[in-house]
Amino acid sequence: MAIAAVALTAGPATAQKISIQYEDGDFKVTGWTVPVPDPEGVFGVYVGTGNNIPPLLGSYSAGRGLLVFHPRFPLAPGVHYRAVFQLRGEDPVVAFFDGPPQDTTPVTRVEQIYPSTNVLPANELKLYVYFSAPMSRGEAWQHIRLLDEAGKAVPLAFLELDQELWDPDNQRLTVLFDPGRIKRGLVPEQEIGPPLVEGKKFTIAVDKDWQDARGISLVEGFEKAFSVGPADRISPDPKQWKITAPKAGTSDALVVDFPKPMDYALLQRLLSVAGIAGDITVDREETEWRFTPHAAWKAGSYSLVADATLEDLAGNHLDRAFDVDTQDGHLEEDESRRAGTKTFTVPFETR
Amino acid sequence: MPHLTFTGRSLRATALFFAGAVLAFSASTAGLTTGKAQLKSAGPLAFGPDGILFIGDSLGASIVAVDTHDNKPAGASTAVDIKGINRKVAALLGTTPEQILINDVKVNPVSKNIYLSVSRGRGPQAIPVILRTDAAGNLKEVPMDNVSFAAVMLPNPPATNPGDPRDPRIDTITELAYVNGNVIVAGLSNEEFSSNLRSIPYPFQSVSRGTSVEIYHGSHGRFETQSPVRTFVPYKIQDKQYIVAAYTCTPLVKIPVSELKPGSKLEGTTIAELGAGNRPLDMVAYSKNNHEFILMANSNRGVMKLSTDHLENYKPIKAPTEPAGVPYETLAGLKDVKHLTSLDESNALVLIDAAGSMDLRSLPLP
Repeated sequence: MAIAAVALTAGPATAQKISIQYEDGDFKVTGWTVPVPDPEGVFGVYVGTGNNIPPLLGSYSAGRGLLVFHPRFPLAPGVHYRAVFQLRGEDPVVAFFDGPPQDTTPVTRVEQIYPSTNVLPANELKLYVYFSAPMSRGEAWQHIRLLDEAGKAVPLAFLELDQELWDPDNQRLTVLFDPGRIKRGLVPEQEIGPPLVEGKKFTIAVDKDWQDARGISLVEGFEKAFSVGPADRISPDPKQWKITAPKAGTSDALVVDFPKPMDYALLQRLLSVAGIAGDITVDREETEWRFTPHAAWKAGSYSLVADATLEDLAGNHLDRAFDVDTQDGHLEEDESRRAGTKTFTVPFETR
Repeated sequence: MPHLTFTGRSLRATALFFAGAVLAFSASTAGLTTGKAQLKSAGPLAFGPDGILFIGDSLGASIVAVDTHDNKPAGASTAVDIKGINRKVAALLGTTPEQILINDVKVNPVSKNIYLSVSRGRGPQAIPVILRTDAAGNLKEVPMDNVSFAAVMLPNPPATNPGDPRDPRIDTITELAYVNGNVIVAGLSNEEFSSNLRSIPYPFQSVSRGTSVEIYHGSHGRFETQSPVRTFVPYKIQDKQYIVAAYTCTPLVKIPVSELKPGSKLEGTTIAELGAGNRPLDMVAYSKNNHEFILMANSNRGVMKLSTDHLENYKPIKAPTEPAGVPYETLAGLKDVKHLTSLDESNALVLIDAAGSMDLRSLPLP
């Protein structure tokens, strides 16, 4: 790591020629001769020029005219440091250092917001915002908004969790619409209604000031415009999925088409072919799932396996709707789809 | 499924074993091993008995228990007023306040030292750090090297797409508490919407499957959803242990801890509805003048004081009724509270974020 390691003695000249250097991740103080029984008491490195702050954490060693301070963490890009060495009864010797230079060129963009369809159900549950590079935590709710047709921000649209539901790379943020405004019968739903209204148009707007993991803004903002269809309170039914079986002896994709869009992320994880390794792609605005096997299909019977927690856009699982009307009895009609079923299996044949 | 069990003894326990004093070591440190506690992230904190600190690591999908050896009883209660704690933390970690996140604040109930769960950096390479401060603001790092610790992995459904080496799914841990020999963990997936409340026996042995919790709502008594718990506080009602929990969809409910069994399903009993935009962040339960209260920090409505006498009278709602929630009031003059936790019998501790400067302050329980 390139660090500007220029030591400048800013204090008055002392009888000893004391020098502070930063080399290979260590601060080194040389030129002193008196014993230093307490290195921590005579040397400290501070961030910036402010007072009343503690020195950097780190480990000290001293002996034979050399004091070494190894900071617990590497110097941070774009940060200035002040190193102070002061023997008892002497004037302080001060040196200034810079962390590695910071590249401030914006390079990160929003790549996509899922669902990719432009018609969302009025009870849409979540969005996935994909970025081209890792992002910073802690400021999401300042930079993503739901706008109505007049371009006005809809207040309290999202579940503004402080924890922010990122993936491990901070490249995908999961944004939940406030479930209290979607679930029927709760005070928020009754007080201010759901954030999305059937028949209206909305925009999800991401502003460019959102910082990536380097602390640099996005290249540009991003908008996704959509209109709102009716609320969907029906569990997806695997019996209604159209399966196009591939030919035996080929490595053609198995194609599954859904009558309505499904959750983009869960389609990657909760739908599979029993015992077969392959690659998944999701297409046609999340209404098509394609599975390309690593080895050619053999003639015979296979099983498409769906986990019951696979969701559509409104958070309806295969075995239960997002908010089940317990007085409706709808689910009782089909024993196989009662809550608690773990997986659904759809057989298909290759010839 | 990545279940881990640590069966090693701490050095101290081993020495005692060879001395023949098998039962002499504390039950709370049984099962701890000495070494480096690996944290990928540091989220919610909780204290167990004898200075055991639990750290929720969402990125590592684990709960780590560390023996802090910080078990010297505190002296007289001291007021806390540490201004600019975020500046101090950033300075200690050699960076700027913009590049740190204070993820949780908890007080060691024995020593009254304040523990902070911190990220140095805000990107995926952020370094998790646990810090400790006394009431005067003297900050120290709580080392994770060469410590007595145990860790338990939380079950995470495996990625099923073999073509994708990365698993983007995480259960984000939103709250943690030690209750009667169990660590209770609330979390929320960044993919499927489901409740995820786990009770893990401590000393760690294995992970229970957790408990799927469902509720009815008082206004109609008919709509059921999976309801993730956002935050909760241990609470006793007539000597029976409960948690009082805030769901992501806002109702405040009581859940008996004895019912948190693997695979069981529960109905949280609604005790209050808090309205739109309400974001309960943290809760503290306390008694004052023979009355019971819960103090709740809330993103939208400041700090609320709920009167919680006779929670035993709230029955599960089976039929349509109007909500009859507990009475509450909002405390005047307390804004921008990001974290709220118990300090001692008469005080709470708050982390206030006022225009970028974060202050730690004791708050006499109202």
